[in-house]
Amino acid sequence: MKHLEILLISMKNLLRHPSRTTIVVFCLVVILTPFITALAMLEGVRGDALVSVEEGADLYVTMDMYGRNGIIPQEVADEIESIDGVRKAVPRVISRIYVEGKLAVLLGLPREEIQTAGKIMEGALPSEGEVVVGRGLAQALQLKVGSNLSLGVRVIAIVQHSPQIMKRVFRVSGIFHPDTSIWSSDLILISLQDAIDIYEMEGFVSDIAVFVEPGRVTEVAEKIQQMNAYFRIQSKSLTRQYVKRAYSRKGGVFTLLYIFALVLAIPVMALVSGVGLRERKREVGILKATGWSTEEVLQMVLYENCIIALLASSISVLTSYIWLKVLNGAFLIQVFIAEITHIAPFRIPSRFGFDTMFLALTVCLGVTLVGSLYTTWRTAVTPPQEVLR
Amino acid sequence: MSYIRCEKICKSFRLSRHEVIEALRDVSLGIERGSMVLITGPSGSGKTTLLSILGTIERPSKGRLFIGDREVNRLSDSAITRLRRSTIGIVFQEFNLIPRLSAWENVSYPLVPLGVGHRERRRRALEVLELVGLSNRCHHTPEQLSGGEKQRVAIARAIIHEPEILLLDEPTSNIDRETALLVLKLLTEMKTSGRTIILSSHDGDLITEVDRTFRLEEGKLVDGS
Ligand SMILES: Nc1ncnc2c1ncn2[C@@H]1O[C@H](COP(=O)(O)OP(=O)(O)OP(=O)(O)O)[C@@H](O)[C@H]1O
Ligand SMILES: [Mg+2]
Repeated sequence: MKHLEILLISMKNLLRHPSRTTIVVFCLVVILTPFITALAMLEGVRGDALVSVEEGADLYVTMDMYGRNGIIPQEVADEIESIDGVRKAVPRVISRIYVEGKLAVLLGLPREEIQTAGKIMEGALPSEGEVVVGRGLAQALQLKVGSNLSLGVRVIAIVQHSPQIMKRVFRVSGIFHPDTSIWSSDLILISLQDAIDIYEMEGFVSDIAVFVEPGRVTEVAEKIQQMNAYFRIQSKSLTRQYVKRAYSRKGGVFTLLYIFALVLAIPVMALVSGVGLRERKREVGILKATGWSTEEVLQMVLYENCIIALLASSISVLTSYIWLKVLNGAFLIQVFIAEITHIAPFRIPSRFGFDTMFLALTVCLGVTLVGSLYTTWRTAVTPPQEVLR
Repeated sequence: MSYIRCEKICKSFRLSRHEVIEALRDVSLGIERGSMVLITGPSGSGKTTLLSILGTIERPSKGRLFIGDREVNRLSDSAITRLRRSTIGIVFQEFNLIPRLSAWENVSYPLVPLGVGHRERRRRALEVLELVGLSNRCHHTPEQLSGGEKQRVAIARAIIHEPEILLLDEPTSNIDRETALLVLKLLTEMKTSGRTIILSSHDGDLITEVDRTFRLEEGKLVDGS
């Protein structure tokens, strides 16, 4: 009963100071929205699969080479596929590749695996000597279906310190739809055999993607390891690791910048809410003089902050939702991907999970509570007449 | 033994390193339960300071205050809160109403910590506002009220929880003679129902029906008739 009454009074307090409430909420939204947008984006990036062909592999097997991931014999795929509990084992070739100075990811897959990519692209699936490229790459290099793409595949010699690169020309048979995902933006999809030829790794592939029956991942991983002690088993694809590394490096910088901004935000918030500080102090003094306990006063302030935080974080989530879904992350995506100058050539993946909301709320609460609870407490334990003078 | 007792209470305010104002010096007095007492004295003599100490909203620099069998200076923050909530009602010289909050809400806030629900709070607030002759102003905010009306809202707030001790700082100085008499009549009624009433006034003209008068001059009690 009493708690409900105090809650009602907290709401009333916010309504009693409409301009202050609006300013505080506005500031919080301004501080929070880029944060949530970036978070939702990183979350989306993390959750987004490369392309549907690659989606859902449970394990990736490579072979140890000088303590790193090295190539693995192609026929291991068949051996793994015969293990009980394995649905499918797909040999793949993955590499980072520079195309006219632009970094791309080259992915070679067996023909039957490429089939499923058909519905997320325009043009045709790649046959021998053909590639499907991501939208970002196509835009950067002005490629169309039918264009030629020259790939520098390998360094063959170094003449006077400059590498001589062997090139091969492919025909662009298709381009991924812009709304597929961030992963496929810089992707070059090619048939497995072509990829093997490019790198002259006859009989070997970069890794084997293993699809396992539900609930048997650990068991299968153990069996694969027993086959050969030099096998390295991972649960995330190499491509994802490549891309994620690039992202998280920028994500890290962003986070750092952001923490800095948040630290700055605390005094700003204190200033903003301090606009009515004298009045607030008097109110606390009056309440204490008329029989309110320190706890009840703090409870009231806590509720006020909770309401503000709830309001500000929902508005922020809404704003960043619009930012990402309607404006496609304009002006923010550049922070993460240097190559993009204006509008991203692909749909920015984003995910607004419960975590994002919760984090937004916590940050909001944190920023508002740090200042208000302590000052209120200080005021509340001072004899009221001293406060009211 | 008196219900409320002050023993050698001093209150000093430090203005700067060298300048100390002694607002109260060695004030000792006793107030009986159910009596009405008046504290007079010229402006600046320490009336408000003494009233605040008696009302537990100010701490004396020295000396002891007893209310009933409790020594107030030794009570914890929460024990003092309990005391205020059950026993004390204060009308400030400057009223101290919460701005932009309607009269009835201002009046009803002391009931919140007592766990009284919204409806009941409202009902009782309207009741006491009627008692002070303000039932037609219950939705006005302090900004929309005259000085005398504010004072009566403050009185309503001080009596809504039916306190044992009622302290009023200059309750008649902002209102006309007629309203002052209405207020005094109300106070006499409260006194008859057994409450202890402590008033302050720089001129004791209107306030005649008191049991005792204490006179302060420059922080000292000069007359305790
Ligand atoms: N916070 C303070 N700091 C410094 N001096 C103070 C403070 N509060 C009160 N005083 C001083 O203490 C003395 C007594 O003040 P108090 O308010 O109790 O007087 P009063 O009798 O109520 O006067 P009035 O009739 O004008 O209301 C005054 O000289 C005043 O200047
Ligand atoms: Mg005074």
